[in-house]
Amino acid sequence: MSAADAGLHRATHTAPAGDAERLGNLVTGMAPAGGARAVPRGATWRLFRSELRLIYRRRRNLAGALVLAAVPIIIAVSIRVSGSGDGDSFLFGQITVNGLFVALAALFVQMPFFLPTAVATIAGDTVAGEANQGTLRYLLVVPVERTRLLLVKLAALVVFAASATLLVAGVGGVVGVALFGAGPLPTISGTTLSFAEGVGRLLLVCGYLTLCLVALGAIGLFISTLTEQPLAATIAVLVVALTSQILDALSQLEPIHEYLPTHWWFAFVDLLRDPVATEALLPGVVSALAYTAVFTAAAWARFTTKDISS
Amino acid sequence: MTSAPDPRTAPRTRQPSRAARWSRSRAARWAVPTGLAVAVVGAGLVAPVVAAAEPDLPERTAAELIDDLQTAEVAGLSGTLVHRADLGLPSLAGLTGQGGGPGGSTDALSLLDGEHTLRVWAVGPDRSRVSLHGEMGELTAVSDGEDLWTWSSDDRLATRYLLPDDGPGTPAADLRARVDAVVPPLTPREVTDLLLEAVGPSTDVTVGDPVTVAGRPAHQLVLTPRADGSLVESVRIAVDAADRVPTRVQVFAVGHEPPALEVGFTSLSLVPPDEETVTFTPPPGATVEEVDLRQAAEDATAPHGGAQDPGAGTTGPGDGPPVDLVGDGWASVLVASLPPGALEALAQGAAGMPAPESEDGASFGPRHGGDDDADVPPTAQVALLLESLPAVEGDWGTGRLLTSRLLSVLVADDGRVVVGAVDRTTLEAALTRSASPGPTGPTG
Repeated sequence: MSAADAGLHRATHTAPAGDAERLGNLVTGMAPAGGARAVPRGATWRLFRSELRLIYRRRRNLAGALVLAAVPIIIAVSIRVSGSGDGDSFLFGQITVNGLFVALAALFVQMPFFLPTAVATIAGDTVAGEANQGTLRYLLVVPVERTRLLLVKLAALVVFAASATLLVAGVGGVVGVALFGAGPLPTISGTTLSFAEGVGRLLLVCGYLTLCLVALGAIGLFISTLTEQPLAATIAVLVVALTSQILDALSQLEPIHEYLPTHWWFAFVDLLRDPVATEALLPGVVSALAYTAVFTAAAWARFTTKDISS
Repeated sequence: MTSAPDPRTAPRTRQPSRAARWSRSRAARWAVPTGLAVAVVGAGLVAPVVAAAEPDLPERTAAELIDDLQTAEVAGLSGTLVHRADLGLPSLAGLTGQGGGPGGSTDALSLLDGEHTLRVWAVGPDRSRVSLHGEMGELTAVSDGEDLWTWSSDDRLATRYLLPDDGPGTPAADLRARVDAVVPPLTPREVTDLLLEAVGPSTDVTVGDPVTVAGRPAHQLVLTPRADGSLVESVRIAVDAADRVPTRVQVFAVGHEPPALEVGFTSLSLVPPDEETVTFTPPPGATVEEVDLRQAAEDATAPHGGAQDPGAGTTGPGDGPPVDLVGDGWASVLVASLPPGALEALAQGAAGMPAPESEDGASFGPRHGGDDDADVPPTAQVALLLESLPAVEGDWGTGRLLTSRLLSVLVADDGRVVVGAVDRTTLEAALTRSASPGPTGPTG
């Protein structure tokens, strides 16, 4: 079967537009070069773009994005209707004071489950999805070097994680400011930041959470190389995320808590202190980077040594 | 060195050795993530050991160290403290905010158990900011030189305490006591001041091994109580070698190896922070309350004047419950009597209340726990706690005993309460010695 056939094959299975075009591009971009080592520049970029197209054009993923975006709207509207967030935690209580807190509260609410689910869906699909559709071996025939393919998948995961947090924060920020207004931002420490500084802190929160989600995505990337069932991989990633949170809540397991992938996630709250408290944020960043490195390396070790038969 | 055969031209008979190479390269590839994981975990385990390495310091005597502590002057500091309590208290679920889960509330009582982070800033002797970090909140006290502000992010509540002028009529100690009533001794400095007051003939003072605290070499001063019955095995105070300030205090309990109580800097800078950090302006959306302590201070200093006012709700020295200090030094015991009927009132409050839920995370305090529908009033919580304590009896009567590694409390059924950092025998002896307040009725 030729590489062009592979494009057709993939297109009939995965439906989203641009997929046939994807392999078509890859073929025209790379095939003439002949050897795996002589891939022209721009091919990686094309692969990356086609990977992003695959993620952002899937109806399933768009539906997920709607759920992510709905949460801040629901939070903002319900607090607007009920009149106050009194009696709740600081994040919720301050929503009526400054609209940016809608974004922060939405991130807080979605971090335990919805955002990890979104990342798990994409990460579980990375390799297992291609294998399941039977497109993986054709991708490799094209030829795409396995290491490069994996790194492109990881890069797409990073973009996706960032876009997911920014989507929640963006929708929350816009809806919040529309309903509750923009103004100086009260911090947890009892000081006040200007609105611009507040937006800056919100972006920092998004950056930190993106790192945390990428670490989970890297775990997913590895799991995805172990199976040909994308759904199994996705569920496994979710099990990892939820189990880690459960273990983190058991005080008897305190000695291992700091090694759990989800342990430092809520340190993002420290970005709302003034001055920012780095005691938990720094280990959080280190932990996220370490998980990303270890599991990307594990995915690489697995993917570059495994027999691809589908 | 033999050149590797070109895979394209290699004959099929080379297959087994290719397979061997393949598995070797597979092992080599798996070595990368394994090595990374080992390196990360190893670094996590080794770094604290390296950071806590014993520094090489010139010797210093105990007397010199005490002198250092009492004379060191700092123009200002900013730093982060970790407060660890491992008191072995019975389960105080419902009394202390569970620090574990996100959303756990922040209050001073939560310091009784677990690990907490505090940040401190100080400019000069009388301006400071102390923040107790909760998972989702912060409790802050700012002393701006004139007034004391407290901020609780859980309630968005800013409270301004108007303090009396430190004039000739008002003893500074009295003012200090009032500030302490709001802000418990938290920093190594405050704890050390308290401890040094206690150093007397009942204490052995020695010098321990030098340590590294907050990345800074420090001498260690070791206080060991001589008193019988004391629950305190020893107290170790780390004294910064360069700047002579206390950087860590550890209290060790009898028969328990790790410190029962520890407060120490994890980072410390002796450069005075911005003036801004020691001022407080209520943020937008905050509820602002004002508490005037000036009048109360005048009442307290006036010789038994208005302090007898039955309406005064403050706890001046004159109108609190009668309190006695029995014994001396480390083994001293505080004996107090609850107002008549207080225990009965507590018991009534508890009647009909559900058993305390073990993990509900509600906090003890009038303004907390609003998000919890099992909102047990604090008095009922205290009553339930009392009931959950083991019943004890002796020649002094019957009561309930709360023991922990550092503190024992005995509440007798006749309303007497004894508290001390001592064992049960010493508490009971103190109860026996103190006269019963006179039974108002037959008590069980």
